[in-house]
Parts: sequence; C-alpha cells; structure tokens
Amino acid sequence: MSTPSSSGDSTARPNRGWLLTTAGALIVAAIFFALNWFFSLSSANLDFTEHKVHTLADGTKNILDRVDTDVTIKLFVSPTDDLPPQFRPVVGQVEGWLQRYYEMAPDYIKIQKLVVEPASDEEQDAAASGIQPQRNLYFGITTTCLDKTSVIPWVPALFAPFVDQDRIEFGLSAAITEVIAQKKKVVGLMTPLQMTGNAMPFGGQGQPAWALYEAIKSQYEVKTIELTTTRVDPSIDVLLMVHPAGISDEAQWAVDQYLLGGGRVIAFLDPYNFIASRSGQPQPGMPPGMSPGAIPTGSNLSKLLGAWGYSFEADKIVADLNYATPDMGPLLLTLGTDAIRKDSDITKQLTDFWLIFSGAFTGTAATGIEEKIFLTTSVKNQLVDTSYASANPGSPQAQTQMDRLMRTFQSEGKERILAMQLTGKFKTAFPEGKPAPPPPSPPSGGMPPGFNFGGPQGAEGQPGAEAAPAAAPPAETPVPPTETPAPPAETPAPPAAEPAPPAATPAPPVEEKPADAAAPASPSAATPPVTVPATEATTAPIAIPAAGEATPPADPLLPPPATPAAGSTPIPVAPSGDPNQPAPLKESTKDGLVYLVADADMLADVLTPRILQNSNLPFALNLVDQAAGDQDLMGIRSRGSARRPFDTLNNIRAEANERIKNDLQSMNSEVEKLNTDIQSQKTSKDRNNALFAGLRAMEAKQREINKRIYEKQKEANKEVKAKENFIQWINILLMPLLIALAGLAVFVLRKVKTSAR
Amino acid sequence: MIEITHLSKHFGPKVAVDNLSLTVQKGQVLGFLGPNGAGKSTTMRMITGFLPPTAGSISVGGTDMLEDPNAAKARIGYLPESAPLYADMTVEGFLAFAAELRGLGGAAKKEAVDKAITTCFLEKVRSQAIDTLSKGYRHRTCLAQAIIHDPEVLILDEPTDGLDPNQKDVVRNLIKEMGKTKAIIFSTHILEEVEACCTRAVIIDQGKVVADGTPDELKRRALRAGSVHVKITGSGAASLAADLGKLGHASRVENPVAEGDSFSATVYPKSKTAIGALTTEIYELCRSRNLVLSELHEEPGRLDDMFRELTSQNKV
Amino acid sequence: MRHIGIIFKRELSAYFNNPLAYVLIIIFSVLSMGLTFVIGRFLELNDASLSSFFWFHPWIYMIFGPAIGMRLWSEEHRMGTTELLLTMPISPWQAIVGKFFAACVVLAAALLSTLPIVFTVYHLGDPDGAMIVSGYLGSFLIGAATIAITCAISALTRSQISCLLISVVICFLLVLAGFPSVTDFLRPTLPWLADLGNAMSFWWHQSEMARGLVRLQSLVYLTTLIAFCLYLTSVVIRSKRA
Repeated sequence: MSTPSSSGDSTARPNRGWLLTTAGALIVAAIFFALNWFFSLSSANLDFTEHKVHTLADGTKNILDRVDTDVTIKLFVSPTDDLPPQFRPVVGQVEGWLQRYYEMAPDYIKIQKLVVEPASDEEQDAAASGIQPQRNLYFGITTTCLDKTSVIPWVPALFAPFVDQDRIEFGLSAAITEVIAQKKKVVGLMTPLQMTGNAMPFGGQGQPAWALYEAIKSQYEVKTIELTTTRVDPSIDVLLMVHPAGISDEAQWAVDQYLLGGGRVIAFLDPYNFIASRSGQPQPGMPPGMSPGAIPTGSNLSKLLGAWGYSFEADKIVADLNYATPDMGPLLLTLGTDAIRKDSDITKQLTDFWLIFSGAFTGTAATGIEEKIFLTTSVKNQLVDTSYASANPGSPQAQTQMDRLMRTFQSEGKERILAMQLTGKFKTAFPEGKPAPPPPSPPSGGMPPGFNFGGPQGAEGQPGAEAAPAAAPPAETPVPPTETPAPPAETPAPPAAEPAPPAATPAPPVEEKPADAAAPASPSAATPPVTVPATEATTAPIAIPAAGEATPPADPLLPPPATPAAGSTPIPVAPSGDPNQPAPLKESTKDGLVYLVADADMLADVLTPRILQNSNLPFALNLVDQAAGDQDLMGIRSRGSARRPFDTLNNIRAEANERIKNDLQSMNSEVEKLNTDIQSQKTSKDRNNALFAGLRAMEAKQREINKRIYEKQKEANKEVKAKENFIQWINILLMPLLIALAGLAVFVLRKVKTSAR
Repeated sequence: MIEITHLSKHFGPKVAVDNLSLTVQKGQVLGFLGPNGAGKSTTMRMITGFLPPTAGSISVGGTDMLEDPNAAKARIGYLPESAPLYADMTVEGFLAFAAELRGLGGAAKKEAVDKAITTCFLEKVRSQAIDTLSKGYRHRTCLAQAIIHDPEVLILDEPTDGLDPNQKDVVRNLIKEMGKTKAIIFSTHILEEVEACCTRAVIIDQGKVVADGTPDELKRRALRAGSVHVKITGSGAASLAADLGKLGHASRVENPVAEGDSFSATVYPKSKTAIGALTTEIYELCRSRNLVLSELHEEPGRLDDMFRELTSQNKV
Repeated sequence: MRHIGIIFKRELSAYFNNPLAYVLIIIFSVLSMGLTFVIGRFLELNDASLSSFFWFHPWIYMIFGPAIGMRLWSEEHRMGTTELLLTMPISPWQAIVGKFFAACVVLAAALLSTLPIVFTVYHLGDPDGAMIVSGYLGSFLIGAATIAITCAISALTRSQISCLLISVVICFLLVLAGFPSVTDFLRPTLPWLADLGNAMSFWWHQSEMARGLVRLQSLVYLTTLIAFCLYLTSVVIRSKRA
C-alpha cells in the first residue's frame, strides 16, 4: 500500500510530507505505472476452472519439450468486425492459447497472426496454405515445421465432432505432434464395416465416414487389413479391429504373431452388431444383384481369447437392469461413473458411455498377463440370447421382447467385464503353428432367426427417412477385382493353401437365398455371403432414439461395395510360403498390449449423434493413442468438458416432449394420411363439386390437426416456459424486495428511535 | 500548556498568520479577539493540527504537533467554527464515536459520554438524531464532543456564535468553570464575553498579536483611559476649551462640544499620574469663573475602544 | 487498525441508515439480473456459467461505483466534518481506508444480492464453482476500483453531483478502453495504445476472471490501482488543507 503513513517510526519524521506533495504524487504514479508494466509482462495466473482449461495440459508440455526445430504457427483470421459474434471470443481464446504455447517454448515456437482482409496478400497466403474460408470468413491455423505443414482449415470445426470439449489445445498440440513427427504412426484397421464412408453409385445418397475413422485418420496413417490376412506387418503400430466378424483362423494366427512380436491390438468385438444386422438387405434404388452379402452380426476372437484366459460368447447379449437406458430397455447400456473404473489414464476423465447390444468377457488372465478393467456391468445382469435384439428398439415387437425378457430375467449376481486391458507376456494361441486353411464353417456369430428390422418407425424416425434405402452392403464384401486392388493381384501364384480369390464369389442377391442364413461361410471372401434374410420388403432406417436428438436424416446403414477410402491402403497379404517369413513365435518377445471391448456399435456415430456427445469416441481414441504410444495427446483429449448445459431445463423439455410423443405421432400420421388422400384425390380425373367439397373438408381437417399439434407443443412447452419465467422473475425481484423491506424496517425503526420528542 | 512560536501560515501570496508567538498556561482562559480575517481561525486550525503551518512550531503539553500529531491532538478538544456534526447520527452515537476515536472504550466510554451529556445539558436529546436538533443543541453537542475526553487543552472557535442569550450564558459559565483546570483558547467577536470569562485576552490583526493582557490591562491601555470627562454650564462656558488646554497638567482637549450655556469635553492629563492634579485644576478653574461643574469623571477605558484603536489603524 | 475500524463502523452505519444504500443495492440487483435475463437471454444460452452475468458488471459499476463512493469525502467537506475528523488523533489515511472499506461492504452487499443467480445455475446445471468464485472476485475488485477512483474525486469537491459525473466519465473510459471494438479499431494504427487500453481496462480484466482465468497482472493492476487512488485521496486532502 502506498498510502501515506504518519504513524510509527520517528526516524522518518524529517522526510515526512514529501510523499503527499505534487512531486511525490508524480513519483508514486510513475512507480504505479512501472509496476503494472512489469507485471503485464508476466503471464502468471491462477486457473480457477475445474478442468484447468486455461492451463496447458501436461501432454502439451511434453509435446513442446520434444520440439527442437522452429515450428511456425500462423493464425489466419478475418477482421474481428466481420466475424459473427459467437466467434469473436474464440479468436481471443485461440490467441491466448497460442501465447501460452509460445511461452512454453519461446525458442522454437513462432506465432504469427495474419488478419485476412478481402483481396489482400494474406488472403492469397491463406488460400495457398489450405485455409478454407467459410462464407468468405477466414479462421484457420497452419502449423509448419521444416517442410511439413498441418492445417486446421476452420477453427470452429475443432469444436466438432466432440461438441462437449474444448478442443483448441488438442487441435494445436495434435498439429504440432504431426509436423514434428518424423513420420505418422500407422494404424491397421481390420473391419468388415464400411467405416470410411462412401458415395453411393447410381446417384444414391452417400454415407459419411465414421467420426472415429476421421479422427484417427487425422493423426495416423490408416492401413486396412483384410479379415483373411495371413500376416500383419510388424511395422503397424496399432492394430484396430472393429467387429472382426468372420475372421479366419489364419488371420487370428497373424494377429497372434503380430501381438507376440510386441504388437498392440485393440479389438471391439460384438455379439450382435447392429450395423452388421442391417447389412445385406436389398436397397431400393439399387439395381438387383448389387446388394451384396451381409456381415455376420457376431464377432469373436475365440482362439486368441482362449489363449489369454477369457471367453466371449458371441451370441449372447448382456442385459443389465441397473444400467438400462430409459425407454430402450436393458440391452442398451448407459454407463455412468459406477461402471467406469477410474484408475486408468484412459478412463480417468471419462464420464458416460452408451453401449448398444454389448457382450461381456468372462475368465481370468492367463499366466504372464495382467488385466486392467475399464468398464463393467452392474451385478444385476444376465447374458441373454441375441434374438432379443432383433427388433428395432422402441418398436412394439421390441416391447414384447423386453416384456418376455423381464419375465425371465435372472440376475447372475456378479459384475461382467465390458472393456479391459491386457498386458504382459502373451503365449501363442496356436502352439501347433500356423493353422491350415479352415474348412468351411459357420461364422462364429450365431445367426438369429428371421426378424424384422422395419416395424414401426422409431420414436424420432422421420417419415421422409422412412422411405430411404435402409440396407447397404457391408464394407469388405466381395467385390469385383476391377474395383479393388485385391490381394491376389499382387500374389499371382498363391499356394494351394491360400484362400481362393475373392472374386470367385459374387454376392448373391439376398432375397434369393434366404437359406444362406444357415449356410457355411465361404472362406474365400472377406465376408461370407451369408445374409440375414429380410422378411419384409420395406425396411426402416435404424432409429435408435436418442433423447432430444434427431436421428441423422441419411440412412445410417452402410454403402455399397467398398473402394478403399483415400488414405487407407490395403496391406498386401504376404503368402505364407514367403521364404522370408520367420519361424512362428511361441510367446511374446516384447510386452504386448491388448484392449478388448465387448461392443462395436458404440463407435458408430452414424447410428446416432448421441455417440458424439458422450465418452464413447474419446475412449476409443484414447485406446488408439495409448496403444500408439502417444499418451501426451491422450492426456489432452481426456480433459473435462468445458460445456455445462442447463440439464434441468433440458430434462423438463425432454420429458414434456416425451409425454406428447405418442399423440404427436398419431396426429402426424393422420396429417400424412390426409395428405396422401388429398394428393390422390387431386390427381383423380373425376372432378366434381362433391369432390372439391370433400377436398376442402379434408384440408380444413388437416389445418385443424396441425393447429392441434401446435397447441399440443405449446402446451408441452408451457411447463418449461413457466419454470423459466419463475426463475427469471425470482432472480430479478426476490432480492430487491427483501432489501427494500429490510431498508424500510431499518428506516422506520430509526425514525421511531431518533425522532424529536 | 500551549506554546506557539513564530507561527506563520501563507495561503499562496496571502499571509494569514504572520510570525505569531503565544503561550497559554494551564488555568488560563484566553479570549482570542480580532476582526474577521485576522487569522484567528487559521491559528486555531494550526494549533489543532488541521492545517499544517508554513513555518513555526506548535507544542501542546510539551508534544510537538508536527512531530507527533496524534499525541498532540489527543490532548486537545476542539470545537470548530460552525460546529460541524454528522447529521445522520444520534447525539449519543456521535459522542460515542468521538469517545472511541479518543481511545475510550467500554465503561470508560459510557461514563465519558454520560458526563459530557450532563455537562452540556443534552439529556433531553441524547437519543435524538442530530439533524432534528436546534442550533443551540447542535452547538452544545459539538462542545460535548470537544470535552468528552477531558482534554488539557480546549480550542473553541466562536463557541457562542448564533446562540440565544440564555444559551450564551450557559456556554460562558461552562468555559469559566472548565478554565480553572484547563488551558482554553476561544475566539469571539463579543467583547463582553472576554470580560466576562477570560483571564487573558489577545487581539490579533492581520496575523499578528497586537495586544495581549488581562481584559483590565487592555482596557486601561485604551487611548481614552485615564482622561477626564467634564461638563460645565454657565455663561461663557463655550469658550472654555482654550482655557482648559492651558491648565498646568492638561496635555490636550478633545471633543469640545458647546451647546448654549453648556460645554463638554475630554481633557487628557500630561501623565496618567497627574490625573488628580488635573481634576483639581479643572475644579479651580470653574470656581474662579463661577461656572457650574455639572459632570466630572475619569474615563476607565473600554475594550471595544481598545479593539477598534488597535485593529482599525491599518485599515485603508 | 482500531481507528480504521471505528471510522469503518461509523461510515457503514451512515450508509445503511440512509435510504441511498438500499436504493443503490436494489438498482444494482435489478439491473444486473434484468440485463442478464432479459437482454442477455440467460436461460436461452443453455450454459451453466455466469459469464453472461458478469459481462454486464463493468457497465453497471461505471455508475454504481461512483454512486456509492460519491458521498465519501464530498459529504464530509460539505458538512465541514473533515475538520472534526482530521483533528481527532488519527491519521488521514486511516480515515480514508476506513471509509473505503465501508463502501466496499456496500459493494459486497450488492454482490450478495445477486446470489439467487448462483443458486439458479446450480439448480439448472452443473456449473464450475471455482469459476463462479473467480468471476465474483473479479467483479468485486473492479467495483472496488471504481469506488477508489470516486473516493479520490470526492476528496476534490464538496458537490456530490460533480463528483458523480466526473467519476462516471473516468470509469466509463476505463471500461471502454478494453472493449473489443475499441481495441480492434486502435490495433492496426496504434497497437501499443490498444495494448495499454486493454491492460488498463476493467473490461478486459473482468472478462478474463469471469472465465476463470485470474492473471497475476489483473490482481496487481486492480490492487495497485485501488492503493494508488486511495493515496491520491490522501494527497488531495492534504493539498486542500495546505
């Protein structure tokens, strides 16, 4: 405090007084400014936020420690006045982050901010760097180190797809990691599902790639690996298996050898893969014969799991009463904190999961292997047959099934493992060496009997989407050799032991071969041409209702024959007769790492956007990052959410909508029906007055119903509105009234006590 | 008790107090006289530590006001001119506040407040808000504040200003009473007040002391003091002026007024000791001329004369 | 310290024995809540934080601080009680600090009157408690700074109204100096001025603290600004006496 002091010591007496003169004031002012100037140079701060969102994560610090060459980060941004208001604070935040990066490694990190005026040099520069303007606005970042540049074309997109996370830091750190890395790490992707997305031929609607795939691709080089491969290249850093349905024994052997060589394996298995269940169904709009074979709904790695001490029943779904998803039954698990073991870096900051028809692992780790559990069921669970999953969740059939399930439910009284990690020295699952090409055998997943995917639309299903093609061919279905550089093309003389060329088995149209359901899978194809017979011609979109979320309008099912997505290169399958191939390994040479998850649908954001908002994808990406050794990025991603919605209001809103859902549905369908009637009447040739009168009456009725719908919605919103109003006016008026009363009381009391008498 | 040496205060080019020295002892009640703007209030504000002096020093009870203002201030009770008060407080609350600032607490504080209230006759209004009080009560409340800690030194700036005669009397008696044990300086325009309760009067003008003494001394120092006022009747009295001036002990004659057969004048003796001889001479003169000496008395001197004489000479 | 306490107590009772303090607190409460809910559309933001609430605070303090602080010394000068106060055995700085603290209590009471919004965000969502604390800390410091500025001005004049007007203008400039459109306007031509404006602006410090980032720079700036203004008050009081 620079307040003048006149108390205390007498030694200062003779000089006392100068401080309060004009000259003294000038000196003090100078000190004031100098002090503040000095502290303005410091960026020291206290971060009051729960997740320390203003502080660089340790992961970022580690990444910056690794920087040993100049890294130039350029921020291209349009003038603030041109930006929409919601982006303006983001610019400040981004600049704040860049400043912190600079402070952490001032010798190497170079920050440049370029304000991009229209028709300026900066604009050219931005365009040349790959910054994409959105509606002529620029807000992108390039990160350059030597000859490598990573581009964040549009910063606000960083907030997607994981809308719940503050992703600026992750985007920047990932970019730096990318440019300073000598080369990208490689993720081998083994899946029959079309995760890469695709455009439909014949003018059909394209499928977006899975968000998970996009996220992995932005960090890693992705190589696709066939489910029939005989060798997994050890240069692959992480082997990611998503629903490896119909994997051949030889491929399991390849995985086994890869793992024993120090490989890292992530496997998302599934007893009943919802997406696979929709595959192989005929699609309107596709020429007959193009509908390829379906993917088995169950996947397993029975050989490998057995060797590790575990089993996975690929035809049993786990039902859990405690973790049942409201309105959707106990087969769709909503996992909260109770289910998540937080003692691992991977799960420590994750909060909620959603599993769709998950299986479970049982068993104990074989010697030399250590298990670490990530996710479990509650004790009130039971493994049930996959047939319970056959109906669309929320449909009447499903309701019947659920009723049946509930009647027979018997809790097994112990938690089951849903996801875990295995580490240590693994022993081979193939002590006899490489297995012979297997005789044709049924796919590991049991085929459910014929069932109906269609049924009534799901809760949020939109009438428009109903007509959209529902089924799409699976990803790795047999394809004409002309479209895919199939492995055999590179192995012109496969030994007899090798599987037959895939082209040999074109997928038969589904309708023609319902009996194939029980037929053995052809080992020659990546996916056996076994299909789920579709008993009804019309199929509904997958409609897993997510409260408050609209189902994506596009049909989530997967598109037609695969052309490998850009960036993913098929790995050539080395023939087993390769003379260079070393002798088979019997046990781990280096510590291996395996992640096992009992559900694969949890990754499919194409099913419902709900998956983008919970911990499912961060979890999967954490697994990949951890396995790839980039724990730094994982640490950054696992930061808590910066967004905190008004849950209470949202819940009331959702409840209100839930209450009127059925009414609305029936009214909507009534309107639809009237519409159709009107249309048919209009096209009727038989025009007369009675018809017009009838038309008018119908139109009037339609209007009336629409009005009722509106009223209904208004009614439903009334509660929220009332609550909002209450909150608003309580906030504005309560305290002022209390204070006014208190003031009045004090005033009156005082008047009484102190007035003249 | 109070020792002021070579005290000066300049407001810019204006000299308000000019090299003023003054000492007040315990038991003295010093009446501070002077025309408006003579520097009374400025001097008192410097003594109480409100204004810093330009030069000179002030010592209160041996403590230097500039060296240790808080210790010096602690010895002083001060009633500022116009008796400012916190209007929002009650009389009791205000006095308690003053007592606390004076370092009194608990029972001592309560006792001091009660005593001050009794001393200044404030019982009737003790819990009343100050802004509801009449001027007299306000003044006395402020006075009570000044004496609440029973100070050795009291500085009262026009303590009776604006009071009605009865209230003035009350305050004067208070001052007189307290003067027995304290050193008091109070300023006033009212000269009879000084005569009534001061043991000493100081007249300042233009920042300087022009007179200092007991009220009696000062009165005697007035120019007219010691002169002889005469009124003579009889024929030819009008021409007496010259004759009076020729008397052996007379130095001069002033204010000769002749009205028909009557004549009046003030005759000054040559020295203050010659007054007896002069009256005899006048008497003799009247008898010799067969005139009637209807009035003859010695002028005792008046303080306001003194005041006027001292403070007007420099006026333009 | 004891003397500061006595002055503080008296000043506080002066505030609360006067309708002014209640009226000011009510205005503050209604204004900050009303702006947040009606103009800021708080409930529609769907964000369980108080950022939008604190957004308005610098603007409110622009008036509120001077309105609280204007009587501190102006009233004393007007009633002549300065003479009484400063001839008591206390130092001027003790009186200044005591009075300032009392005004800060009024400020704190005003902030307390906004507590319903804290309950509201806790009721509606899961807010970051520490972030709310830092927001209130920032808000309080900025309010205290506007009071300190007003305190210095009020020592200059015996008219509360002129004190209010001058202080409002100064506070307005200090808020505006860091307002984004101002700094963005300055930055291309006078970048150093834009930086200076930012660093001196209540706006910037408040918005940083409202989002949970308490910079050492902000703490130093606001506390030294308060200390400097109280020191200036002391200089002014002395120069008025000299």
